[in-house]
Amino acid sequence: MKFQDLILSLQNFWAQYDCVISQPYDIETGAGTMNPHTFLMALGPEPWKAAYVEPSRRPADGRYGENPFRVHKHYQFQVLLKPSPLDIQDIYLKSLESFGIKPEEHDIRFEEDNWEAPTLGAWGVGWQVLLDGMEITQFTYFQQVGGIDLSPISVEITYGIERLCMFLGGVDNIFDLNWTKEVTYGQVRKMEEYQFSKYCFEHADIELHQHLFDLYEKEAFSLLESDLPLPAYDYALKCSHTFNVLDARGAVSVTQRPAYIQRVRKLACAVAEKYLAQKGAQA
Amino acid sequence: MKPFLFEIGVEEIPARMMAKAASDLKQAVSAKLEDAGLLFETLEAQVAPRQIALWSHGIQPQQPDRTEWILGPPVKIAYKPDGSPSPALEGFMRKFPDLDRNQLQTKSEAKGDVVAAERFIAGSATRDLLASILPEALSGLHFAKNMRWGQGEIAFVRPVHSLLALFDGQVIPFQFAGIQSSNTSFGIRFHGKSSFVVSGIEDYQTQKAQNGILINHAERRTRIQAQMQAHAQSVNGQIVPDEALLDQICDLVESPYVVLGAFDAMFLEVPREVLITSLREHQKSFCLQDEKGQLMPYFLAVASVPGDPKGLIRKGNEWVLRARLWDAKFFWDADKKKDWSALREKLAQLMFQRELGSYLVKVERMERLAEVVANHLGLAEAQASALWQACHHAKTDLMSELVFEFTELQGQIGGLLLKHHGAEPAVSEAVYDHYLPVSNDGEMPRTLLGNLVSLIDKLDTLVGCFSVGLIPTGTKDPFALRRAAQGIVRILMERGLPLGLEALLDAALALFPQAPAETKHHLLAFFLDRTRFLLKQQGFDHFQVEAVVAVDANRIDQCLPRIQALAQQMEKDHFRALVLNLKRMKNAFQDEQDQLGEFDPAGLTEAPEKALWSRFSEVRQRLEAAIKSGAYSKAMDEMAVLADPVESYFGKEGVFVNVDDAAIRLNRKAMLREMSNCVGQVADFTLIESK
Repeated sequence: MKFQDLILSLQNFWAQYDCVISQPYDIETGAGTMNPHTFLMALGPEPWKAAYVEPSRRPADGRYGENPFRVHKHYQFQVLLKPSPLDIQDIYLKSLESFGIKPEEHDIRFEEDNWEAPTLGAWGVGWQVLLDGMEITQFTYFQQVGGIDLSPISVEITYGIERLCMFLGGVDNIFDLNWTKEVTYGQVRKMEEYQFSKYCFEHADIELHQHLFDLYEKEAFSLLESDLPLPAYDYALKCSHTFNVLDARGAVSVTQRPAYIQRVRKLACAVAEKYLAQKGAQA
Repeated sequence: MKPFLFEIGVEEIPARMMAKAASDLKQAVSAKLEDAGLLFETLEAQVAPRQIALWSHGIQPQQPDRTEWILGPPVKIAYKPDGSPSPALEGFMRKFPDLDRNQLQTKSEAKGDVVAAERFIAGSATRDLLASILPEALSGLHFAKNMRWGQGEIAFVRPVHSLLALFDGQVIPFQFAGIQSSNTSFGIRFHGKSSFVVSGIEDYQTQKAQNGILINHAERRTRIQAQMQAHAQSVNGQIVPDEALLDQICDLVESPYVVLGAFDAMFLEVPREVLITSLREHQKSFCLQDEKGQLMPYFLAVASVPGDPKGLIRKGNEWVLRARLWDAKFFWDADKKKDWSALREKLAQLMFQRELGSYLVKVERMERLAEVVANHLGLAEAQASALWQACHHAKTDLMSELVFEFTELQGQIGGLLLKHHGAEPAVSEAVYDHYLPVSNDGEMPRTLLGNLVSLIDKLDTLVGCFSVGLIPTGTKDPFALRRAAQGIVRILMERGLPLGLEALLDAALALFPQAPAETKHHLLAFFLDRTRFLLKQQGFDHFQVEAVVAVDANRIDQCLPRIQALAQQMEKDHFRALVLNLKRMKNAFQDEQDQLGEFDPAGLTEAPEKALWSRFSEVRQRLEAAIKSGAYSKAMDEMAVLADPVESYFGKEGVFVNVDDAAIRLNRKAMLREMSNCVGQVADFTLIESK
């Protein structure tokens, strides 16, 4: 299975289901949840269906391109459906067939795994989906986003597409995945893994990032005061990523960590509140 | 009596909540049936990941008719002087329009005579009652975590999909969570039917099984065990037992099917502890070992399918495990290569607690305590040095990759790495064990040094936390200090370590000069509490525990033999009688305690007191010696010979202590005090209440 075929299959499947096939956000995110098409669209009463690939940066997971399983950036395939359909488990299982899995030949289990994103004031209840013992999907019914109780409830389905692809092909090293017939994942991404590991662990200017965090935070709050929650959210995302870089750089002490998380969370919650209030006013 | 069958179909319930959900539902429905006055045969509840089932082979089909009194206003105010109904009675009559005036009677109640009527209530059909009992019981179920879905109106453990509800073969009509009850159930995904009609309990059980779902936890367990055994035998191996994992797995599968997988033998270089943990934590898989207890390159995984004809599930699990084992091997190899002392220096960067400094500071404190403890115990030079070494290295593994990955292996990894680096076995074993015991009935460190390192580590944590005001309150105990103190108490008791608590606390407190003065007082009270708790937990009588700790809670090691001896003696009638008299003895001199001088045997006048004293004098030496050597049972045997003379002393023909002659009285009391103090070294008998 080629990496891009997996993406295309998932996109096609969810397009058939009438999802908006949106695109990755153009600001660094740590997960598909942080894309406004999930974080903001999960708020409020309007129905919404979206599916997209999200490059997800986790600076602390970088391994200089040397570890066969861990990378600083991986791709998530993210689906968000609001309200959650009652037959969503069946639909999800059908999506696996779209890229050639015959569910009746495998052991597919839903094991409790409750998801929480403290920086986003978000949590949900659900499972990790295991395929023959391999975690392939995070399946979550959102209960709260940006500190706000949700109604209706959205369901979020996040496929870890690299590991899924590795599993399907029995490939032992992420960099050996075939992106196309000719080009490997390693050819596309290995140098990037090395350089960004080098950057996040050794070179990122700590003082600059500490300063940037403060500036982004200030900008976000001033945008909120100007009733512009969408641009404010961009700066909340920048804060979050800046914090992740500082963390990978070893510049966040155990005691500072909760304070940073709290600051991002406060911002995310304020954005959610303002965004919802504006939508309410429009309606 | 007619059969009742119910099943709620939901998305996968978390394994940890399943057993409770089934028993709660059973209890709730039973209680409601009882409230409704229905006779029924015991309900049975079963649960599998996507369903909770409940049935009874017989419930009374119709609620019995009954009469009930309805009470109206007091007779005094029910009628006007002319005998016509007052507004109060009219109001009452309006409330019950089907009530006729000639049904009214007078009934005496506690508050006086009231107007009342006996009303006939026809029993409802059980099916109708169940139609309200079931949704009420479901709404009342409490799960550790609920969720909402769809439009978000309902909260339940997971979204609800089906309700099978039959009474005497007919559907019990009701709705819950937007789902209408029916006569259908479902099978396992992909292999069983997604819906089938059910006619009754036996039919339900048969069809569930035919469609791939074992709804009975015990049956799933039996099937898993049988298949695991067969696989283990096929490779001449034995299962490394893990009951907790087995229980958990039983509630993760509907159709258990055990898969035997293999991995590359080169991974067996990784320590056994790491392999077992990796398989358990990441893959919920069991390890196999040979007859010598050596791990084999096989594992057992449990799937929820009818079979694996193409071997894809086995292959998939092997692939996933390979990735995990590569990780584990990578970490182990990396940790072995690391410079051990440099790793230890890195502890300076790992915060133990903000006000108590880093782990490096902590191990340095532990080293100092090691010296004190070795001194107190009079350890030989080599042992004392090994203890110091073990404390020195105890926390270094916190900087290893493996402990970062598998926190539960802390200590063990340290032991393994020390062994790899050639440390003496006494040291590596002590480090390996030093987080034990982790619970009140958990395993203890194997060696004396292991126990001592564990004690020192916990003592430092406890005294450190108390010294900066982190004292557990109520249910809040974030640093698990109660568990730490119980660990210390267990070590002192079970190893019989002759270490005084106060001396230990003084030594530890000296390392925290900032500790407020009252810290020691708090710690002593805390330990006293934990000692009591552990003794009672071992089944000792509350009053006996109090009697023992009241005498001396400083030498915790002595509390156990003292209470064991006491509990044993208290089984005997004559000893219980003695205890009663010892209580009287102690009470008899309390009032003039301050005025008592030296006892003079020559001042005794009465025969019973002379007899008692002479008996006491005979046994005294042996008694004291027995106490001193910790032979408490023997001491109490010695005491037992006093039973008769004490009885005579306090008996009808006995001695009157409170005579007017001050010299005689005070001398008598001085004797009682002397005896009381002597026997009181074992327990404060006045605290023992006879049952």
